[in-house]
Amino acid sequence: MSTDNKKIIFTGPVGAGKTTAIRSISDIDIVTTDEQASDMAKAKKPATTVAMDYGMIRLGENERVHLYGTPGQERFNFMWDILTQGGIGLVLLIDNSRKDPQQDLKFYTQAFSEFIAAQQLVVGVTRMDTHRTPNVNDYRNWLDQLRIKAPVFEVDARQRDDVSLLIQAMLMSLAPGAEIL
Amino acid sequence: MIDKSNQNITLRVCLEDVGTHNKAVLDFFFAKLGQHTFSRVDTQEEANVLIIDYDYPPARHRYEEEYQQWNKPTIVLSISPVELEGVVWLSKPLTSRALLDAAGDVQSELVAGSSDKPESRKAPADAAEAQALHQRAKAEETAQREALLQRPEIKPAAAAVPNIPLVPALTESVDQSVEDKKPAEQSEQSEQSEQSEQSEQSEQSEQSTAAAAPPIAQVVLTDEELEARWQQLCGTQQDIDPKADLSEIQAEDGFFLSSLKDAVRLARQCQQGVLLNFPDTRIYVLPEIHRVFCAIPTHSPEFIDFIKSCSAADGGKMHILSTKEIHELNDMIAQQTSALYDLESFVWTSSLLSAEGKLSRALDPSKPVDLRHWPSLTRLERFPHVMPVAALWSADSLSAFDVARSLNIPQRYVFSFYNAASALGLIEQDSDKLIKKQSTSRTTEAPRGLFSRLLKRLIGG
Ligand SMILES: Nc1nc2c(ncn2[C@@H]2O[C@H](COP(=O)(O)OP(=O)(O)O)[C@@H](O)[C@H]2O)c(=O)[nH]1
Ligand SMILES: [Mg+2]
Repeated sequence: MSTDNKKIIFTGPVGAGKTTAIRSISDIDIVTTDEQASDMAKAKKPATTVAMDYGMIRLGENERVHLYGTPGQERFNFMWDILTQGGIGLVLLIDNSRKDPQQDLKFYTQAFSEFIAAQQLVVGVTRMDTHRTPNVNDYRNWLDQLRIKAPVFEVDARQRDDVSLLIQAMLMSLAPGAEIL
Repeated sequence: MIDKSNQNITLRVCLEDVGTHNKAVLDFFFAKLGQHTFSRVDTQEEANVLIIDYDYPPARHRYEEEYQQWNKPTIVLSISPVELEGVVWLSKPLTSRALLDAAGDVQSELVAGSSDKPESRKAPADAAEAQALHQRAKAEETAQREALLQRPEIKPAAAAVPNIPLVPALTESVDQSVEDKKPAEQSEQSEQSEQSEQSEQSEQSEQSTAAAAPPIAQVVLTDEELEARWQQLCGTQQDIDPKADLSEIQAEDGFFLSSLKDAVRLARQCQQGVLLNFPDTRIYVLPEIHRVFCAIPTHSPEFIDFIKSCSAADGGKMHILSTKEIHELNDMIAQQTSALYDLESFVWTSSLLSAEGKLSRALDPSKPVDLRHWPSLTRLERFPHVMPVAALWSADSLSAFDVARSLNIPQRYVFSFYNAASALGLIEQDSDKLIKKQSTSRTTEAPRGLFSRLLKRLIGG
């Protein structure tokens, strides 16, 4: 059985909640390729993802959806192309508490622009519980400026329901109007 | 005595050691009254003043084990008195007055201790910056006081009504609505949000995630309750033939909803809190923190009654919050955090409850329109088919009738979505204005079988 088209990619800046989000919906304990964080990333939080996270959702006996979290640092972006091959869609998590979330949005949508145009992007804004601004509407306007159409949800990566709804929105956007339920 | 001019040092604070309830209170305080005194930083290391929630065991522990040695001035929040050196104790519930006083005390302390504390080396620069901010704050405050705006009139009836004077009757109405609650609702209420510090404490020590859970009410309903709620939100109206008389499925926008929409518009325009006045309650629209304060729970029958009974005859005037009202509101938030709603979520629910599945007369169910953006469905009350409707409508220009037909779902859910998404400004009536996705064709056909199985898994849990 082939694993093409059964991959969901999670990306976003360090600390945005990629590892946590994958853990929230994965059926297996997530696998993280451990590596020492650079000092810059360390300053932000103690344990950061420098390499890749992997999780999985099992569907029936032998069908699987693979969940990949991108390394959070720019120097790894040579991997992103490989990572997105055969992906269903992209979950971009933006940490609302960072200095310039608009810049983060721009950076990641540009880095994945080909994939986004071909498949589907969904944006989850995390840490809105602690940082109320910018708000979801600001993100919608920024996406307009980037000429990207994608659902933007406030999410808490620790809440399974939030992560699940983001992915549901991704799937329904890929097949709008289909009687897939 | 400390020279007043030295007290304007910006207090850099981090809220990682404060529980949900008080965080919501401080959020609003920092956005308004404290905006020129406090600035938020991400870690306690960067802070020059520590704020510690002493009733939250992990925070207290961290303070005693670690932070205390840093010798930074500390504001301790606690139900019972705390007497420690270098600590200003603030009793809960927090009041804006006490917060401002504590800020003053700590500023004095920072000035007095500037010779021996390393972090206060930055103080002179901070002081100059704060001085400038302070002056601007003064100017803004004066401007604000003068800006008691009258609500833009939308209906002739409203014009005849004199502006209701600002009396601080709001504490009474708040208390009233709390007292009126039946026991069943009370327990539900305390589940959604910690009403007493006691429950906050136990919840937080149970699970660290609880400490940062959103203060927005998240009610868990049984299947029957859910059905009943959907009826409240979307009504029971049967489908009609698109060619038939539309009067059956259409209704005027309720007075409450149109007032609310005006208040939100005004608040957004001027980025100031706006108070919407009704005899039963006051609604505060707070764009700085993207929230609405409403003392009547949106899940309660009282809220539905309130929405329905609102009329131009007895309210709907609005104005920008005065400083006095901001103080009052700060204290009300401290008493009732559960009354804080996400702004869009409040508008969404209000729109649904007032329309009950009937389409606003301003909207044409036969005209193709577009959904510019998805509503943030994680934080809004969801009803059947809301997600497929959003997905389809954001992909194509369609009429409400078409959406219902393509998805083969009852029209009332589509009308409900149309009303509520319009209230949030997410519908584009003019498709020329739309931002089209720069689409390259998808590399592969959507594997619908897989999607369907994955969706079932995600929805099923
Ligand atoms: N308060 C809050 N914390 C969050 C939220 N989402 C994730 N976190 C926390 O943020 C931290 C970093 O998350 P992590 O998954 O490691 O981020 P990553 O670097 O993108 O993999 C973890 O401690 C999460 O529990 C959120 O919405 N609110
Ligand atoms: Mg990670």
